[in-house]
Amino acid sequence: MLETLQNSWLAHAVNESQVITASLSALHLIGFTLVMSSAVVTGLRMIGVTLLEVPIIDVIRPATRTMLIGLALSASTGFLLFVPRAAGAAANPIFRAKLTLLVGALLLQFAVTRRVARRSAAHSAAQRSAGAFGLALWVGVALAGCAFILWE
Amino acid sequence: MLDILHRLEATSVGTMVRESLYGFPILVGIHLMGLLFSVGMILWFDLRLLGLALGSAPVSRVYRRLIPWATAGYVVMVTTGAMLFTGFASAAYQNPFFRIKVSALILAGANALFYHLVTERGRESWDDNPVPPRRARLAGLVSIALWATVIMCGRLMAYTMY
Repeated sequence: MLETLQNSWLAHAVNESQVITASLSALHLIGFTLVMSSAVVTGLRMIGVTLLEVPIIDVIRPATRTMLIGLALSASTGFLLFVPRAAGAAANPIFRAKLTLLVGALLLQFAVTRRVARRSAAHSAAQRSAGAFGLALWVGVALAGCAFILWE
Repeated sequence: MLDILHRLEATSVGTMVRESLYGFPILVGIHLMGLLFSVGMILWFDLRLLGLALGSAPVSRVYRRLIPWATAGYVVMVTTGAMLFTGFASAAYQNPFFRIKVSALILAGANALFYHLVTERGRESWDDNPVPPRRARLAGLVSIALWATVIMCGRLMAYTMY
């Protein structure tokens, strides 16, 4: 299936144009900056080191919105960048690590963070742990993405 | 100018960036993290200026809480950026995206300075407003546009330089 994807007209269109590849890559980074920006502000607020006068939920709500916009942009451009190198990327351990960390970070962000922020007491250990763990996962995604580009 | 840049490339830092197996990737990784922290935090202050987020806190307080993080990220980003530049100074200098990136960085600084010197005057009257006045919203919008330009040009440089 990955071979088919890699030999599709879409893969050839992306692969043959450096302008398209470079533009997709730049937009991918813009999308990821939106994602990371939301993750960082959420993480630091959960840990309790910034914006303490703003209720956590008032940080998480706009951060989730911004993160979804960033995810839509980075996932769509990421898919287009993946298509021409599908087989190679899927077998690459750094790429696999990036995807694993991404899934973990998304699960934590959308399934755990909101719930912990609502249910646990302010500055509780649960909040701090969720914030720190989430932040660490997102930093891991960023570094794995960077390593994949450089060592592919 | 090119002569100075070639001499910069010949320094020990320049040689390390170009020839070390791990020097370049590690610097790029740290540069990226600095950028994400710096721009990430500036973006939230800009969103507050635009009235799109954190409206329950005064503008001045959001600034005080976020800017130390943004500054720390900025210092890391500029330091590692300067080291990366040393390795490929002449190629970067001649690259159009590098020139646009540096211009956008300077304009982002000028925009921040203009905000503090002019736009922020009389801030007490709108500090608590969920949606600040038009001049403040414009400062936020310009900042986002300029930082997006910096990021895009930084990425485009990688495709046009090496």
